[in-house]
Amino acid sequence: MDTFDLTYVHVHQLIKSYGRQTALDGVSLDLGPGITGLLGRNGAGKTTLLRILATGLASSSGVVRVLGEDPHDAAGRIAIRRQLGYVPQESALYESFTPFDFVDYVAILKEHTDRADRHAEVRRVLDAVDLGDVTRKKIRKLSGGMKRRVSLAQALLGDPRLLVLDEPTVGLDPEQRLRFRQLISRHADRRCVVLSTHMTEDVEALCDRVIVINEGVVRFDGTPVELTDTARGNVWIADRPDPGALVSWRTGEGRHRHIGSAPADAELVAPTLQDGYLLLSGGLSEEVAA
Amino acid sequence: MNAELALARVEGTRLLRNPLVWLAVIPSALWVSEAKAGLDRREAEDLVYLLNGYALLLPGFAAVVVTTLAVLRSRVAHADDLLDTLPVGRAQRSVAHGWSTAASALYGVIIIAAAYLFLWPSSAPGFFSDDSAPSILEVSRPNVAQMLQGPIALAAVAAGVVALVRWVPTWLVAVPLFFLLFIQGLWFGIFNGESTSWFTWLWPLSTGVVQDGWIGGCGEGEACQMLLTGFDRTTPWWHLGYLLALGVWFVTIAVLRHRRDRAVWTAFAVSLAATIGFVLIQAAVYMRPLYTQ
Repeated sequence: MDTFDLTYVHVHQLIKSYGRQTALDGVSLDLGPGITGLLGRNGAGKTTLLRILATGLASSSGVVRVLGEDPHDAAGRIAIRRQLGYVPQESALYESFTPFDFVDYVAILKEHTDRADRHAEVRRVLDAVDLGDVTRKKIRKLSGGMKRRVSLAQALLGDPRLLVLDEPTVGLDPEQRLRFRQLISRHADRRCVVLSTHMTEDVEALCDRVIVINEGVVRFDGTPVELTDTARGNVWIADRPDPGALVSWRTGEGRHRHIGSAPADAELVAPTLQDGYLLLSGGLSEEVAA
Repeated sequence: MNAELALARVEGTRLLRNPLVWLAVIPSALWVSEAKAGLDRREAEDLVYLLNGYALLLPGFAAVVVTTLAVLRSRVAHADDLLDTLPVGRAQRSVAHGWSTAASALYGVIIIAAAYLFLWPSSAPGFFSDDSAPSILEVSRPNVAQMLQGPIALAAVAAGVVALVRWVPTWLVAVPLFFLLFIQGLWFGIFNGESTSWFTWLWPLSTGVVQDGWIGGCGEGEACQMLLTGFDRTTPWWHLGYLLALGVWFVTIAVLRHRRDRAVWTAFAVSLAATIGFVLIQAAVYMRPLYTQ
């Protein structure tokens, strides 16, 4: 990749189909340094997109360039993988390993073959995710949050230029999420981080850019502030529920927050990123609404 | 050190650190101990069988099971989503598993060496006599090739397991493993005193017994030819070559699951040719008539 070319990911008219089902339908985007958040419902196509960027899945058609390389080409794929850190949606750890052994194993698969250097790097990333004191405990005995951090630690090996994180904060408690944000924001300096999440707070706190995907199509691509602004003038607080609202719920203060048209006796309030996301994605998904 | 060897070192170390494989030594230790205790009332050939590799029957099976689980690990843990995004791919991991079978061989060497030291530091384990050989014959202790048969067979079987796991569904993996143990164990249990043949040398472990299979004793004259019985000490050298070539061939089969370029096909063809070559040589060596003065 050219030193002055800051496009880490270039995707144009990307289509991915599984049989007759289309998971991604003409996705186009360019990603540079910084943190990009992917928002979308379950099954929207986020994981498929991330797996394609991480070279774990081939696209059906379209152009994909990651770090200047073509993942369809074997040599290009290897070149990408050498500069990539990836956290899959499922932790998929070897439960009988200790965190040290597992990250060490992945380090070998990332071609860290010098034993002393590799062990130093493994200790570095485990310390970075605050797992330095449980390196010799079996993974099966760790909490869900700790397992997630083991998964994150392996992704940080070798200080990769592209970090692809699929729902990395699932299972983390608030303090761990805060530490995660600090860690990722430090890493994102002149590197590219792409993360998918359901947590709009993470996007708000971390991301320079947010992309909303729905049914395999990019519905929004902009900054978190711009996504928030899409809901401006459409968020209301009222004393009673409004059946006609796109989304409506009871708040902690006992009042009702509505997204959509103004209900009777309601007052207009400032929107949040979540409001923008809900408005854009057409409300709650069916299973949540039910 | 390249990634395959580094990975092989990790896998090999994990095998040797696994308590299961060392627990599996206990039945063999009892077997060896019992064989030594009963030496005055049984034939000494039992001890030769143990050192020929049969002492590894259960420990070897444990090692093979551990190898199987190691190769299956990524599939069982659903870790392929992650591992498929790393520079060292599945084909290289198969090569690494192939190299790691050296740890199985080392494990076998440790057990056989321990049994050897325990059984008899003297020059002969004991004596042999039965109806077909009424005179008492001294049974000489096995040579290096005979004692390496077990460890190298173990490595070859472990390599076979790597290929097996790479090609068959998870639920089907256990069937051939138990079948192999059953057949090899049955062979020992029922046919341990039976003479070997060119066919039995195709199995990983062969007792090497030759019952009246050699001719000789007093020169090449037809009049004084005798039928001789004993343990074949020459064919095992070629059998080691056969097992090594077979092990490499198994690894190439495993690699072919995910990589099919010219280099892999060449390795496949060369190791197959070497395996066939060793089969022919060991058969020819086994079937040679032996003349002694």
